[in-house]
Amino acid sequence: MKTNAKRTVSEYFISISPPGMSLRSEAVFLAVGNIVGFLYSLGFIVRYFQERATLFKYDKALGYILKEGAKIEPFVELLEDAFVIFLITAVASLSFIIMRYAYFHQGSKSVYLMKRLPDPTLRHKMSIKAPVLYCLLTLGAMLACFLLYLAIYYLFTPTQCM
Amino acid sequence: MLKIVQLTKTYREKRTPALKDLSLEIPRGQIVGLFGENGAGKTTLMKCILGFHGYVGSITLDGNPISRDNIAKISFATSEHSFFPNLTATAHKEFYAAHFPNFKSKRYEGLMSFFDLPHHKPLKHFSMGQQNQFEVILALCQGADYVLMDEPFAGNDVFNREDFYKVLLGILESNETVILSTHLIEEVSEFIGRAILIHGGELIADVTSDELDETGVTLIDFIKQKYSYRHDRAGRAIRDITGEGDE
Repeated sequence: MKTNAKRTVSEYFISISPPGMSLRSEAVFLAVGNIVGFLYSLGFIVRYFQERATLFKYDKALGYILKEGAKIEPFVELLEDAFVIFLITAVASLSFIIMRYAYFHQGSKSVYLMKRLPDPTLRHKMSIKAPVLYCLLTLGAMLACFLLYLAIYYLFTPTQCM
Repeated sequence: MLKIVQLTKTYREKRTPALKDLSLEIPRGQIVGLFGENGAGKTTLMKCILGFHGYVGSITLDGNPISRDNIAKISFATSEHSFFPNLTATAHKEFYAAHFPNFKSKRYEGLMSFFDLPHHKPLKHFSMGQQNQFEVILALCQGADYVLMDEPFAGNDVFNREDFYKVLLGILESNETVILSTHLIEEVSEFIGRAILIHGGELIADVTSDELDETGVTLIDFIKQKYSYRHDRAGRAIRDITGEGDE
């Protein structure tokens, strides 16, 4: 089932890519960019829990209790540059558009075939669609992390400290 | 009918036009040889027909401008190659069949078998000769009415080319036209029905093989006449270089 889904995704990306083009380097770039982006964004979790710890003081009898009037830093401040790698990956994935256009001139002039197809837009679709999808997928992953971190921020921060 | 009227093409970087006021009519069912020196404008003419270049003048196919609606009626084989090097022959066949509704599968299989080309090997691993053959096979099997060939056999041996001309004559249907640009004039003279000569971007001659037969002039001699070819040119050059014969 999982293999079938993987095959379907792979077939879809092949169908929107120049014929015969290897997608390996693009897939590796996207995977590495998103994994590194996610790991780097975890810095928010570290900063958040460090910040959250400053809201409490230790009492021998009661354990950890809230400091009076303690306020947590705003969510945006704690984010800092958590998503910078995601953003770099998203923007850099658009450079595959240039590489895909160049593909039609490498090793032959397959651009001549593409230009005389009854659907002359196919060359543009094959050059633009996948990199834009890579960009959107990366931005989607970034958004998912953003929402997760926002949920953590609101769920784990005592209301009176907001 | 492919009709070209007062076609002029000037490249941005050059002052003189690559094609000047060129007019031609090519009906269906002809094998046309397109001849001219390097830089005469043969490739430019083909690229204008295919819509790769902008131009002044008009080019129509059966009365209509060439657009996405009728572009499939023209195919193109070039020595630069227009296939995908990483794809196999079979993958090309599937690609062509998906995009050109009149793709001739039976002709494709026949030609692949005749030239003994591998079906499942990426084109980049073909020899240059095989790549040329495959390029021409694709152009002939697209299902086009007009097949443009620009130096398609550069790099093929003479026997290979001879075979191809024979097969070409045998398989072409009455409504198919081949426009063949080549420098191998003597070799193709038996196979073409009409010769078009371009010199410096201008049409300098347009003659049928019947007209040549009537006059008893061979194609190569006709072309030499039209180009004002000086037979003693090489001899004079050698004398100039070596100084022999000088008193």
